[in-house]
Amino acid sequence: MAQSKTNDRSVDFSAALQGYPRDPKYLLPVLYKLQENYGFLSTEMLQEAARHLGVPVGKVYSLATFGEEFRLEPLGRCVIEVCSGACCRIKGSGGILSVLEAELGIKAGQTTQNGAFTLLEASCIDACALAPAMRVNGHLYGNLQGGDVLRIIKEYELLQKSSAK
Amino acid sequence: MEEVKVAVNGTTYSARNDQTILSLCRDIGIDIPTLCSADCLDTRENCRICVVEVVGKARLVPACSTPIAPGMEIWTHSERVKRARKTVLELLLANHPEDCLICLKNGECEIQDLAKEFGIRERRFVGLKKEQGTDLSSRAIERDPNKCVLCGRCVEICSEKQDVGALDYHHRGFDTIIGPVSGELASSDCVFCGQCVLTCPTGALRERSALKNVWTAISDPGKKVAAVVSPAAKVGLFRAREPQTVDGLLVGALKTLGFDYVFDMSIANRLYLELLALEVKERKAGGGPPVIPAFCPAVMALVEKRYPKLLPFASEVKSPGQIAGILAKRYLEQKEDLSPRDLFVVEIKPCTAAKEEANRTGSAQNGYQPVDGVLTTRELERMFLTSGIKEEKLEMKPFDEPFTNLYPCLGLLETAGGIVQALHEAGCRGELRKAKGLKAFRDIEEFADCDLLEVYACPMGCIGGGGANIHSFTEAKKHRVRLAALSIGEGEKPLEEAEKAYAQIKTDIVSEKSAVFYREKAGVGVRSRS
Amino acid sequence: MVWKESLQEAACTHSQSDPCPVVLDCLRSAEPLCELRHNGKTPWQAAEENQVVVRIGLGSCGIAAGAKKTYNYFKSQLAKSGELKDRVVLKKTGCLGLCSHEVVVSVEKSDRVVFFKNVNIERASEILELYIQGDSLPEDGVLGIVRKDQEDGQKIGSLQAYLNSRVLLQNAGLIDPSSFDEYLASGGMAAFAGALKMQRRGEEGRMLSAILAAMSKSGDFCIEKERLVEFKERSGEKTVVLRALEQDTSSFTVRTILESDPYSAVEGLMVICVLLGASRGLVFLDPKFKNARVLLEDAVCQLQEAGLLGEEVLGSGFSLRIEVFPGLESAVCAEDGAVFAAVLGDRPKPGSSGKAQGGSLTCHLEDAVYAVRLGALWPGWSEHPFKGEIPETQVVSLLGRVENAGCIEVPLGTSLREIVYDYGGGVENRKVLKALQIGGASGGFLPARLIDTPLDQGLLQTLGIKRFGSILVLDQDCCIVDQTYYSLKEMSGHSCGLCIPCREGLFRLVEMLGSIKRAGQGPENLKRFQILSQLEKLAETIRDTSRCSHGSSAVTPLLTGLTYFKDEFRAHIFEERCPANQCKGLLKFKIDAELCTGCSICRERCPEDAIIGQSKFSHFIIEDRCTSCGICHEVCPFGAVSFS
Repeated sequence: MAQSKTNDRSVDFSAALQGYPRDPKYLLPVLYKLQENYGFLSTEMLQEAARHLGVPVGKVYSLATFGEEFRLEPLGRCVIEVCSGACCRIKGSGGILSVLEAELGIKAGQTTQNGAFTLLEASCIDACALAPAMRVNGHLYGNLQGGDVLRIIKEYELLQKSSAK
Repeated sequence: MEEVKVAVNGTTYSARNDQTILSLCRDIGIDIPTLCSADCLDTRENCRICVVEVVGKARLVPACSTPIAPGMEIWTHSERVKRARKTVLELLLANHPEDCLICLKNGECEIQDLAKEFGIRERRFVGLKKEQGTDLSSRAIERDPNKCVLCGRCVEICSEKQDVGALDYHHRGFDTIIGPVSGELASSDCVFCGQCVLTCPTGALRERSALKNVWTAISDPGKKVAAVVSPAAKVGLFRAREPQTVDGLLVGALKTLGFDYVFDMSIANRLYLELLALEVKERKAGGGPPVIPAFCPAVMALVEKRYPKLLPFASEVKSPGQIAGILAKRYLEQKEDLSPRDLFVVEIKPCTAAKEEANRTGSAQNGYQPVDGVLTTRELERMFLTSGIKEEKLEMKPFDEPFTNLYPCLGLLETAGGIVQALHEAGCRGELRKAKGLKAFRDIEEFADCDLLEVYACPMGCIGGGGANIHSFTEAKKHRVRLAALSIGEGEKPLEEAEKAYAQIKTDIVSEKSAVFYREKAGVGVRSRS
Repeated sequence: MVWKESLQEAACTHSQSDPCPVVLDCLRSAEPLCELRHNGKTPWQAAEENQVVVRIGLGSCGIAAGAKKTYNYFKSQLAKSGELKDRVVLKKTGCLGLCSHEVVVSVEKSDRVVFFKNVNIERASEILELYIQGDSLPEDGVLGIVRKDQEDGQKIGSLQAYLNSRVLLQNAGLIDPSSFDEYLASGGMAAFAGALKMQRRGEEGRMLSAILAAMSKSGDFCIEKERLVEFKERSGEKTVVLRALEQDTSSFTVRTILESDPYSAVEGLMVICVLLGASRGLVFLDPKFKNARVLLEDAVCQLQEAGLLGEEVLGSGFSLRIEVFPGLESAVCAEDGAVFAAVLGDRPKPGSSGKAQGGSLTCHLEDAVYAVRLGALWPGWSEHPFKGEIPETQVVSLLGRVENAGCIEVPLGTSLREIVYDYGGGVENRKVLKALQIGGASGGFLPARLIDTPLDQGLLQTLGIKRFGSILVLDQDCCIVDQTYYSLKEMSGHSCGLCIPCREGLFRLVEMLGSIKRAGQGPENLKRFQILSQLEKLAETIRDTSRCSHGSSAVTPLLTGLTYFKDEFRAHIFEERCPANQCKGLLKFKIDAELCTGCSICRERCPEDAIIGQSKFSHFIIEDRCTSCGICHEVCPFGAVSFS
């Protein structure tokens, strides 16, 4: 679903905020808008939001670290979301997560060192009928069994390698 | 507001119907333990330590925020309540370092007190503890997140009272912490006023101690250490003694500790006022913006970090502490033939922001810092403790010439309203205005047409500073009375002689428009380091 | 359909020359509001002679099941044939709510509508060939048949009866959620028009009371009457915040309603605003509802264009502004304090009443939609509040080890047995029911023997929850300890972090439960014996001292688990055994030599290097080194790793 878009510091973030009133009440919509446009929330974006709304940047940061949806680091090139909603969990999503953590060497919420994969634990990706399920770059994989997970990840690993060449 | 009857621990009392359970219990002499409550701050009802049992309510309720109701039956120390409080504290301790013996707050820590009160004898919950590094980014304030109990007092004081907003809650669940953006105070909006340090119940927020450097300098045979004492520092010490004895006791104590020279700051204060009055006059004549004195380093930090457009307003005259340092070093260089390298000047003031100020690169003059270290009143008390200094055994001594307490009345500079009053009394003409704390910067346009705007970051001024040995605003109020008592009367010399001595100093040490007493052009940020 | 009645009452055949006296005149379009509706056709009247309407459910779960592919298939097939293109209309709808049956396609032809389930491309072509072009039904894949002229069916379980009994979900899966016309045609905006009419006459209080009376038959189930009345009397600018948030962590009811029938939600908010005199309505949306956000924003736009929002709506003198506000996740907004803080741009402090919320009020989504259903029947002039009663229903998300998972609407008082076995089709794979967890991660367990408990106020009180959200079905192979562990973990992660019992206490409970899901080593074993009483006592303290309902309800699974399933906990603690064989840390893993092909995938991934074996030869797990992490079991493509 979410992919990193830009790390470019020279981008003018204030343009994205033009539609929003300069009112502290709009902090959440502003943050969602920035993340929608740029894939994550950098310190510069937080400062721009603070400037636009007239609030201390500490407040912006406080809310940005509170909301589950907000990312303060850019995402990797390949984003894996393992559904851990009740339905999927009951059908074994915990096991899927541990396999991926072991395979990629990172914990849920982290990105691999080379920026290739981000592993996320998502709460309900609306695929309850296909539990256990996961999404990779927005593409849904349901009814995961046996060696499915590894096989799928290997495909993406190959893709990454070939595109890197 | 009516009177109602409530029962507490089986006895009926009269209470006001707008009181909380906690307030009522305080009135009738029942001590309910608290943690996140603090004087003069809104209730946060976070800690759940003050819970009590109310008959008819399924859950326990926090005394600090629950209003009383007619006919209420309250039990403050029932078995259920005691067990619950103990469990809550144990949960807190499970995520707290076991550092008591080596912690700065050993003996003064609120959760130590609670643990003792609740009779904690074992650690029932053993598991993961937060492990974060201490934030040493600033020279003024240290922040140790592992000791933080998340009471939220600092957040409240910083954003509501001080209007700075550098500290806030971040993240969620077990990972919740309180801190500045990106974890570093120095680069955040923090102005180092230290009010958070005063209110912190544990050792999570503390001043960055200069003690090590001071002790090293004192024991260094090749160095001469001079102390410069500010009026506000005197307020918190020797409180039980007569005001006129405080100077002598303090000098005696400092000399016992090993300071080679002990100077008073009153001459620096006098010089500061002179230069400030001159600046006001010149600015006014030149049609410039109002002068915001650089007396308060926290105010300067606020201007530099949050209101850079107001930099032209900032006064260019250095603060009295810095001036005192320059005067001391120059005098000792001239008269005692000591190289500035061999001098170590310690400013003693209950001010945390001064620690940051003393380290600014821009402060250096001809290669030396005017002030080499700042000691707060609290640090001084610790020096007394480790050196076994007992009040009763102290020998009173005078301040060293020529920087004696010539102008005790200038002590008022260290209370809010002091600068304006002093300037008026000195005959300065002009529109001089006082601001009520840092909040004034929000509506700065109101002051656009005055000649000087005095702002003190700390409530009540320096006597309520971040380094004072108080914990609350109420205690600061007592300091004001004490400072007044210390400021009356003549100084060491009658006025005429004092003026002569002062003039002498000016001739010997200060040349008329000596640039050394003026700050570098406003704009050098607090981030610069020596 | 239940709303057919209201249609006959409210939808009229008036025209400009014969204007409708019931609804407000729409000054902007110079036509009565009913005229807008008159132009649209009701869904079931869409089919003209010989016309066939094919509707495909494109809600989130439909799309997850591949509905887009099905839709594109139909689209391309219809485009190919000229004859079909004229005769067949293809429409998108929202989610019917029967998630297990996605992709759901309905075909409306002559006097009936046939619903098909699990329609992949193969089945789609079957349907096209057999039923659309021909007249026979495929052998399997028929979900149900609804006859347009028949009233409510008798048998529970028949699709007709089910669709007829739906109130809140009445439009879900039947109309195109992005079409304002279809919404109008199915009776939409009648409630809003009625409310405006009353407001113009100064009589909105009467309508409000009538709605409240109808809704509060089950006590404080819905809205607190006193708060509403007080709010109504207040002067100054007022805002109503619609809680478009899930009721609990496992529920997807609200998402279903928003994706299938967004206009009902917006209209509900509009009606409540008018009745309470609020000029601003805020749809406080869970940011995860990305599809719903688009639909809602679009709906608000269309309403503005139609002149139903803005200054002086329909010349009534009443100004109304609706904003869609992406807020915070449902799990942290259980308390209104959090919602109010978020709306002001502050970090949530759930247990506080919040500053400056004197001018704001929250309203649950289901209540708002219910108000629309009731309001649509408001005649405006009659003394009797509501003609034709609308039954009180509950919308629940049924999920877990059940045959038919989905979002269903049942009459209040329906027993759990009916819900699980009749609506839900029974436990998946005919397994034995162990328990139900009602209320998500903060919900309590109900053992199978209590299956006849009705879904009502009494059950809410027993479980300590305010409204029903999800019902999770657990069978014999589910571990209560494991489920409790995950529930607590989820709640701990969502804690706002302000108070000690919730922030620290829940985390310690999670640690303790985690430790009993693993085999103990040495001295740790002694501690295990204390854990049972420690768990209970700590949970009770957290319940008694938490700052808000988050902490105190988070321990419900643990406390109910200990009440009804203490033996399972005991088995984990004292026997180091998981009766359901779920807690991997207590299992012994073994490789079946017959099934193992020696591919070495498990050996490479074992974090403890506990697997030995040569390539192409069967592998072996060294028990002493094995920490029972279960990764080998997960990755084996041949199912050769088993546990006991």
